[in-house]
Amino acid sequence: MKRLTINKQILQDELSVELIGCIDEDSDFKELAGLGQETISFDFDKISMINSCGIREWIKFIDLLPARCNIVYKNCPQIIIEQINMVHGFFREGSVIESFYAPYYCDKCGKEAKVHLKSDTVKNRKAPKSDCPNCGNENIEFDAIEGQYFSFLGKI
Amino acid sequence: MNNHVAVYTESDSIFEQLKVALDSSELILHLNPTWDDYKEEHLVISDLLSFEDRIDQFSLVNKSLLYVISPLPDEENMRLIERHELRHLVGQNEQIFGLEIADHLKKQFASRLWGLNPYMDETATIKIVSLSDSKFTNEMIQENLSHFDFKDYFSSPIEYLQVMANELVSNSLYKGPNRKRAEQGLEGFDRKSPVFLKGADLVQITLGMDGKGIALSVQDSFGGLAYDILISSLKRSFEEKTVMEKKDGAGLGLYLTFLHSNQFIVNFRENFRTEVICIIDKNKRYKNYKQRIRSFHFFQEVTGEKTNNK
Amino acid sequence: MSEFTSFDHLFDAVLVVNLKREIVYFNHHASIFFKMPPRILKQKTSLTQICDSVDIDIEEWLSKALLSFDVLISPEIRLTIPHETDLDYYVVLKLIPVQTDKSANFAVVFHDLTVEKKLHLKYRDQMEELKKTHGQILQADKLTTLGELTATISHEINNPLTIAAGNSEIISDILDLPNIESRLSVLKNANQTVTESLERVNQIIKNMRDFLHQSEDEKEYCDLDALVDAAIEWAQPGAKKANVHIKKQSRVRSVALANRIKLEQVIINLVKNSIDAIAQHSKDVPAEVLINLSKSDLDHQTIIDVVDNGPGLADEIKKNLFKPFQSTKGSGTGTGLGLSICQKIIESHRGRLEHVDSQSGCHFRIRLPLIEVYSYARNDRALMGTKHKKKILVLDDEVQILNVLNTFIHNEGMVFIGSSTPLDSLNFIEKANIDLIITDFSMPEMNGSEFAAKARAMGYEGPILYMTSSKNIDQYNKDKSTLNITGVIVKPFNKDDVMKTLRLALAPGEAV
Repeated sequence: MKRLTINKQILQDELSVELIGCIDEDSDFKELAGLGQETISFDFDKISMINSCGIREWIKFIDLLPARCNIVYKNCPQIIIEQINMVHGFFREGSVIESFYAPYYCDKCGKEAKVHLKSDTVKNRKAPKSDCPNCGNENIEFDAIEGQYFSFLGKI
Repeated sequence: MNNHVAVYTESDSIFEQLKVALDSSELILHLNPTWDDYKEEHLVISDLLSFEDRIDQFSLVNKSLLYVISPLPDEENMRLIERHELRHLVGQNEQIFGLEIADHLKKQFASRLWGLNPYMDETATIKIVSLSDSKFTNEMIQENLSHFDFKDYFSSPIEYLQVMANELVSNSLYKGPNRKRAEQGLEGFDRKSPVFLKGADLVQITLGMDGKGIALSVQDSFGGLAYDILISSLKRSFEEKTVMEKKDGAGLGLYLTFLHSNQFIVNFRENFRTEVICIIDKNKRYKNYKQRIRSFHFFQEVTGEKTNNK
Repeated sequence: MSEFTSFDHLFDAVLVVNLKREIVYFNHHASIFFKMPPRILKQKTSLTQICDSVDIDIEEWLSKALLSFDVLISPEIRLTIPHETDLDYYVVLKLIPVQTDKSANFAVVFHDLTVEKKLHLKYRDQMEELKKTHGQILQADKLTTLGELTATISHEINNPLTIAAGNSEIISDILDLPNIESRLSVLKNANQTVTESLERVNQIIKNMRDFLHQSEDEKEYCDLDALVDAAIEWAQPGAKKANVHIKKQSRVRSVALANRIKLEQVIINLVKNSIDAIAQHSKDVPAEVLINLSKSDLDHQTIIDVVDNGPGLADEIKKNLFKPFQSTKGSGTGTGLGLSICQKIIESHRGRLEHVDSQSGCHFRIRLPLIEVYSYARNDRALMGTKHKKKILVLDDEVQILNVLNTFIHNEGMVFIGSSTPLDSLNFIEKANIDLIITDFSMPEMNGSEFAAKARAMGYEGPILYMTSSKNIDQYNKDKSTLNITGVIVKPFNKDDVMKTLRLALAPGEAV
């Protein structure tokens, strides 16, 4: 049973792919084969789950993309960042992670926030400052182990 | 197994913690007894330093009675487990490792191998669903999860529980040849093929939540996850961190499940039943969840042993 | 009691009772199921201290069951747990005799069906809701069509009813006369007229039924060849009976933007009129009705000619041809639809229905605007109201694609202009201000690349998107720089694929 929806647009030199749902053993990326443009961007914002077989299907698909393609990952949720950190091959060498979500915690309101970060704002694997989106408290704490969470930045 | 426990540690705080945690039990603790005093069937709890000092002696200990407390990161702990064939490695996490050991010792002494009862207190909410058809895996998991409120936890452990349950259920449905699976004609399916279980051999997914944490249990009646298979899979995954091209899975399911758990527990009886239990401590901070050193426990029931008394 | 420990392997809750109905053992799952710690459960001596049911008296059922030392299964019951007021189970109880060396006992197995039952109830409720909604939709539709029917047939049947009423009066008057035998023929005629008029009313109502199922304004892109074929099929039985041959001729493939049913009905009526006219006269040559499809580039029209080799129309009839209820046939024959209504239908398509003078036979001509022009024109109000509505020209030779994209684009508040031939599109682009073009790639006249080249040569500077499968991506890659092709919609596509590509092409750099 297919649980993954793929929306795609080709404009100028970029193929933009939006992935929605679950990446698992039934995920089929065939419809993206042969569409390779100079830049291929993948938006993971609406991915809710990825299991080990889904990682395998993804890696198989990525390996087939032409070497000349610039691959860009956008809006990676926490689960995707974790997979990138835990499994080799999830994104290939030379790819760019443009943006992702990171956990922060506000001790004023006691709420956690998933803050959208651009990779170029993370210097030396240090989490950039962020204010609490719930209560406005300034400079809330990054709620993960920096070296571990940002280890993917060393892979690029 | 008798009620004497040999504790090997030079750390007062470790011993104190154990004393407090095991205070209400009938266990008698001995701190750093000489090896001559050690008797077969004594339980042994050792911190890492003491373990490394006594490697040769501990190699003679029945591994199912040996608990090693380790502050090392997961990858190194996995090497430790594999090298010494450890059945119990407890993450040396502040203030909680004693309670964790207490739960497991109670379980061993009560011979209560199966289920979440040893890990849940009396206030626990427990929900069980049984799965017979692989195409409803995610729906059944969701159905189970929908009965719980995660407001006291870091932002949505639901995502992790979903993945863990999915991996474990898929393993139960598809993984590994064994006699029982062969008898039922369920060998050799690839992950895209539907699998349908009949009779009493359904996969059981249990979720429990109490004041200490959430526990997920996935149980099957194939009994195929032997110790060496489990360790081999985890070892390969930790070392290579790559997917495999096998029909029955990508070879990373147990590894991912292990890394998402705070305690990873396997109950096993060959050709009879496998149960994998994953516990996530109650925690409002994702950082604390991730920082916790993972514990590993493997219990094996041998045919003829009694468990689950009235 | 070790003889019962095998029950611990079951996933169902099991209570073992003796012949006195006292609980002597419970398995591991029982404490989870009944939400009771083992030490509390140990204290319970009977089933009713643990659970109850509104559907059966458990004690009574157990008592009856114990009389026969046999397996017994209860019906599906709802089980409540006294100390857990929010807990409701649906279970089936299975009573299994267990004989040990020491005693006779019974195992009561609680087979939990709660999850399945709740799913079943949920889906049942949803099905009921769906059925109710469907019924409401059908009813609303009936009411709408009843309104339409009333409005339409009141005009159509007024004349035959008047005729019937008039002839009934004649019959009444004659019956009052002393010597009715001398008026017998008049009586018979009047009676015949009444009958035929009422049959005509009946026929009108029958012929109206197709109109009941479609909204007045609903138009879609239709393949005219297929539409004419369908109309011919409807008319064929009558043609065979009258020994008339119906032929179709089309030099170009034509697409119309039309209410398919109504346009079909107009053609059927024209053809049937021809058949009826031919049938009434003797034939020296084989009787034939020809339907010809063509295009007039000069007038920007699609033309449908219905020509027969029958007797033709008398001059006095031609004068009032399109007046309501004008008929050349005897009363009681014909569809009753009237050429006037046919004309109204074609006018509602911004077309014209006209009679063409010919030396022999009868010739009717339907003129319909080219779809590009019509698509544009029917959005006149939209364009005048908000000048900034984007105008999207879609070129594809498949009507289904045109209809699907029409829905997508129209629902987003843009103006959709459909086209099925590159040359017509190019002619249109020259005259109108198009904001974006989407073109199919593989078309019979010329491919998308050739079309784009011609559009650029004409001076069109707006964005052009190809719509094609992945096999033509290489051509797109070439054309994106040489012809400034903005992007590709890859088949198969979904709504999001189309609309996001469109929006980005119209406003590059803006968030979609």
